[in-house]
Amino acid sequence: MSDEQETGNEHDEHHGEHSFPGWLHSGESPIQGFMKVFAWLIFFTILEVMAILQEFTFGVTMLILFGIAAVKVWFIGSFFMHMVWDPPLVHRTAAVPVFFLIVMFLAIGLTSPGAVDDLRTICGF
Amino acid sequence: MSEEHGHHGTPAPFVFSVAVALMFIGLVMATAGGEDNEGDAGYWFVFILGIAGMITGFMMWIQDYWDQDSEEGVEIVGYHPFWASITTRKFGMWIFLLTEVMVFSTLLSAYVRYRAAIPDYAPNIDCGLEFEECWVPAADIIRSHLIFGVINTFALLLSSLTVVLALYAARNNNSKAATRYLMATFFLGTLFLILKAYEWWEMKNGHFWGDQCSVTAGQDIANKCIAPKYEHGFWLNTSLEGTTFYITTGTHGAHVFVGLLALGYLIAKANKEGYNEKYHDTIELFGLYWHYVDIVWVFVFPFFYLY
Repeated sequence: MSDEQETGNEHDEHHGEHSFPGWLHSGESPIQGFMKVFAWLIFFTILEVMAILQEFTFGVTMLILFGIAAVKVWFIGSFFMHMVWDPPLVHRTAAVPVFFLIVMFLAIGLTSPGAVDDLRTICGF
Repeated sequence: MSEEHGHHGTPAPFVFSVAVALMFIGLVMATAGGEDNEGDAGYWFVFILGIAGMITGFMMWIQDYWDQDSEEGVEIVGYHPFWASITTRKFGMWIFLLTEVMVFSTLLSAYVRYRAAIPDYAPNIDCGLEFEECWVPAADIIRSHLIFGVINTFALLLSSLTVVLALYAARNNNSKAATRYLMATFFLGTLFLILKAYEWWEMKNGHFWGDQCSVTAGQDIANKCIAPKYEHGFWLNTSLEGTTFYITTGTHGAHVFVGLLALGYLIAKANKEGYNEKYHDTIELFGLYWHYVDIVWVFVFPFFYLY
């Protein structure tokens, strides 16, 4: 089992300057990096508004909306929530609901009208 | 670490959690309890007790942390690298956020389920006299006033940035800048709620569509003529579209409101230079919550406002 102990020095080391990936070109200051992340978020928001005006089918629309939302979530989670600089424990903890989300959306798909509910057919036999 | 104001535990979160549970039990039973499921008025007392408990827990929490000027410093340390060191408070916040993920996932998945099952309105589909057989989404009603949703999206994204900037200002011992950024976050969150309340009011009273259409002369939703079922407004009990829209956006708005309450405390403490290079974890933990609220909106906006 885990023990808890005070780790003042180790905690301070955690909060060193954060470096951004090269493609974000954050320069010397992390503030610039966060500003650029914000700019990317605005860009993707504009992109999804323009995309929805095209009036694609339900499936294509869901794909576009989920896809752009996933990208924006990645930006916010990775940089604003500091996950890219956090230890793996945070990533593993954040990944826990993914399993339940997969089960939930599978259940939605399988119970929708006209959906195939036979396991053999789902598996392609 | 200051001996007088160093790390210590507090029962406030436990008190607050129990009070929240009481509040919800009272609310549900008062509105839908009893043998006839019409509500049991006696449970309003339980609801009020829960509210009082929440206020008490919140005040206890503030009192316990108001004078704290040093880091918690307590990290999870295990005998295996799997349990890499983060503070217990940060780990606890992530656990809380995971529960919030499940809350909003149920709301969004219910909405997606309905959209998959019920056909969207189209001129070549028989939707029934009141359009009750088709899904006429809130997005069709909002489209003429989409600017409010777009402003809200920008406001929340910008507020996520200002929270991060507040954290870095505190880390650089710049209390004034930290206070300013937190106040900016508060302003943006308040703007979000005001615009949302305005949207709700306009939609509930049927003000988002033109008066030039006749519900008996044929509908053309593409030109903002309204479906018959929305003739008297678009509200919670109007249709499934209304229920899913208001419950989801309302739950999200409630989370924004709770965030504003916490922001009030952060601003007050930052203003008295309570956050600095050595003590700023609270801003980071609040930031995690606020970014999560932003992430939820990243899904709510396209699915309820655009599609």
